[in-house]
Amino acid sequence: MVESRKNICLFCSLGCGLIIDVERDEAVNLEYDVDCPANRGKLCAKGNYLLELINHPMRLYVPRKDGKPVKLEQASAEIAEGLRAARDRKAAALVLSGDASCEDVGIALEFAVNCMGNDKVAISFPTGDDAVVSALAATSVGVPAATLDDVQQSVCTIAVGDPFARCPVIAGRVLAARNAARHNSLNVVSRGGNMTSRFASTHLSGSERAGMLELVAAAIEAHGGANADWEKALVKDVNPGANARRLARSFVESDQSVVVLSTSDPVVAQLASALVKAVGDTKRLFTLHDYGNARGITEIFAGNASVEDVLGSANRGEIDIVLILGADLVASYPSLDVGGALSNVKMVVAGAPFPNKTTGLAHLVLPTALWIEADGTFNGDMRRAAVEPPGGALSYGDILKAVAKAMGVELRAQAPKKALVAGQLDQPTAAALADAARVAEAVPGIESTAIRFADGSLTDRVSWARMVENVH
Amino acid sequence: MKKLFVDLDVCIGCQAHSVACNRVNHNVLTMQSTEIADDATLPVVCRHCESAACVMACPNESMKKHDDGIVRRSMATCTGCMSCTLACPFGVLARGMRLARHASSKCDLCASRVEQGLEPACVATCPTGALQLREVEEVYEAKELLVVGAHTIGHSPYIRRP
Repeated sequence: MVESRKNICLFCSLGCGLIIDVERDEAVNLEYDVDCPANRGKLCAKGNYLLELINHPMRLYVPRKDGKPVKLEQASAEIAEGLRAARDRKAAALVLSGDASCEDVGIALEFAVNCMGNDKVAISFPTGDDAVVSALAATSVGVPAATLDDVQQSVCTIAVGDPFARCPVIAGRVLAARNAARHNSLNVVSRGGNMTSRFASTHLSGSERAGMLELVAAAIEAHGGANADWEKALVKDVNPGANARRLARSFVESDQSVVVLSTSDPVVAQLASALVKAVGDTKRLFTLHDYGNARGITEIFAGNASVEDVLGSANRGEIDIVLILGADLVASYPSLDVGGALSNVKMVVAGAPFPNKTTGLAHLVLPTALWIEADGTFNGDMRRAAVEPPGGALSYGDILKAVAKAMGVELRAQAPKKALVAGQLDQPTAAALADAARVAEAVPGIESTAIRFADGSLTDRVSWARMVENVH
Repeated sequence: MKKLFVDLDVCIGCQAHSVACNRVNHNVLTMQSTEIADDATLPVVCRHCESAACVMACPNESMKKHDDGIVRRSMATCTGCMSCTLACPFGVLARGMRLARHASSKCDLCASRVEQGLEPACVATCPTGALQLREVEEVYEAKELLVVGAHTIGHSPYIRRP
């Protein structure tokens, strides 16, 4: 008996619907959910790859200590022992992957207080989604969000970064808008050429920050000049080029325009907010993130520590035990010496659905569930698991509960402590933003593409082909 | 007859069709992508030719053009000699095709899905709707479409809007 279960893809924040056909608790087929309004049945390579991920022959099924299988109880007991020893020195840390559900993050915060004796919890967002979410929230007043229909009806679309690579499904809407009428346009602000810029009418290449600052200044000028204080701070000493002026005029004069934001730079994100706010009227901002639940997690998680903090503490020998759940830190942070930092830690526990570079450095490896195999709230929606996780794999929250149980503590998910507060773009913020925009942005160490997940760990085309080879 | 077309005006080269094809055909990739420039990738689709070179080249008659116009490969009789791969003038069977279960990989327009009333996987998944399964005559007669290379290579799957 095959049962079709609807679910969503969380490889980016669009939340495409999909259907998993389940037979005897095993995912046997993936089908396209044409009724889902977000994607109308369409899926990119990453979404299509989901079934392969669930049933992948390389999945981890049992906890392993130094390569040898152990029982979960034994693994939990050893972690509990390590945590007890480290608790007094406050020498424990927890790193959770950005694909966790809101409940799992709540449990992690509770776990830190009760079992680790500190609040050293970091969430791994290698592409900077959390910084972008916070930056957008800080300047969100007066910046209306676009719906998918707005994107499809946009007359003058400005894509910032490379939304087609991050989310190919949005490309269908963006290109439909561009092709709907002869005077409709798609314009791109990005560092150099990319998948989106191939379709651009106007392309402001070079630095994303400089391009956006020019565009904001030109838009303010085209919309009647700088009146508000924050506008004056942004246009000060900026001399937009001819392309930026032409694009800004077209953006201001169009009935309906959308900025599609796909960036890992919080400064660029705030400039996009400023662009929409400056022109007002029917302009909208549509934001894409790499992690489906980036917004949910950032809302709950006030930011106790960052991955850099944890690795820095490890380098100084301040950490005796670190739990890394779901995140492949070695692949996700190529610019940091993760291996060197972890070599200073007495006990490294890594949880992952597949063996990866980080599990290769761990003393204890735990199998974890994919998000499709765990209940939880993602993107503001409570989802049920489509399938059971294989073997002894558990969701992040269940692993933490098992360890807490071994320590004699019962965990309950914490309620959000601090919600993101919507902020206004005022004169001081705008002045700081204008200064920041003059500093060239750092090139991100890792970027998701149409065929590579955000943590860079698994599915580039090469490893995908190699895995298919391994199946035969 | 319905054949696959690629709308070059909306194809972003995301390669979703490759993964979908691979998945639906149980890890046998029958449809690939080719890179035509550093940042431009296009699907390479089987034309199901009227006079198919792969059919003529097959020594075991396992490659056949059926009454519905689709060129199919019989898994039972294909020995994997790769004559079809050498014969295909469009490189559809040639591009890095591996032998799958000792048989060459061949697109049959997802016969099993079409029987269930579904679209071929590549068409169903294509994020921008660039891959389309359409009547050949309808496309060739459509005034708003331009078939790239229509007058030089017989059936061309690549279409644009002039």
